[in-house]
Amino acid sequence: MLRNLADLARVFATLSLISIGGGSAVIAEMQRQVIAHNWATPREFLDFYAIARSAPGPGMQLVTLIGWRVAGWAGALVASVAMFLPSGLLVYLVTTIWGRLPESRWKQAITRGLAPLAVGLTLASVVTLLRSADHPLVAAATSLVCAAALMSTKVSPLLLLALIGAAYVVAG
Amino acid sequence: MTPEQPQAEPPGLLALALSFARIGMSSFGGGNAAWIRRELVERRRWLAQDEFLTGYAMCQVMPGATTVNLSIFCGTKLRGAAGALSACAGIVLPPMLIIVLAGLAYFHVGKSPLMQHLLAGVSAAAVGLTLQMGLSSARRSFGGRIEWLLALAVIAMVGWLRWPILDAIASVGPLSILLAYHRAGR
Repeated sequence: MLRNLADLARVFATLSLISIGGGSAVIAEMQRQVIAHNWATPREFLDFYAIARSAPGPGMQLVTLIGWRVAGWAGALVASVAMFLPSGLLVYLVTTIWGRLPESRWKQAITRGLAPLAVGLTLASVVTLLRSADHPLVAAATSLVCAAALMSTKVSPLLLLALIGAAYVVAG
Repeated sequence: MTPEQPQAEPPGLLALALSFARIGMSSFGGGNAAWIRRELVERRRWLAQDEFLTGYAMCQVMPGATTVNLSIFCGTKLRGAAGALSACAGIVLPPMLIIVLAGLAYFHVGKSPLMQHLLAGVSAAAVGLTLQMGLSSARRSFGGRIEWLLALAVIAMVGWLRWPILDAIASVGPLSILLAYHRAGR
């Protein structure tokens, strides 16, 4: 049991620090490690991934599910802390140091210059997600309708998600 | 350039944790960052639009899950180390309970076709939330056409050509920052 927990901590802390560009960057490596340690079958790993993506919260809760499978609640906690703490500490340090730098023309330029990147990456992830859907055109139409409704009305996003989910169930 | 919106007082630690718990529990099917922007920038006005976008770009480049990174960035900005902890706990812990329950259900019930249709619908709608975030952010913080060209270049590299995001950032980032530096001098 303790050995399992130590293994979970070691594997996920390493993945945390090499996951440059977000959690999805290390999914392939994570799958390799999880299967090599006999923590889940390849089929289970895929199903865990789908569950984590559709459940509320960060998609990387995938590691919570793997930890839970291996060692119950203790495993879920150890795997999550190992995955989120090392990278989180790094973000904390960078944010704090950045905040203490004096205002300057360069600082302002970096702040403004990052905006097109953030928007570009956000919309690129929209393209990637739509391309990986079972029916990309239907998914694209759905997301366009959803975005248009959000931009032109005050509809609650949760209500919109529920309505669209229900429509998919009815349409089969 | 749109004028800065008035900012609210930074929240207490509990209010921060509850806000992030709400975000964590609302973000079905992804679109976490869109929920964070909605709650912190639009609804509560704790963070300015530009501040949020800079942090979001940084959180995407740095190692770690982008959503969790973003919660830590926002928490740090608002209340330092304690704020980072409460925001992160808020967005991670309540959904953790749900995901383990979902795991239990998976092992006992398995997946039904009805469930899969529901998940497909919710995921497609959640992509719409992300789309709306990208478009609204562009409308609020872009000063002109050049920003759109830079953003379109990133979309083409990452979404269409499937470049690793670090390569896209290394090619567009310096240009974008230099342009902003040039503009700041006028």
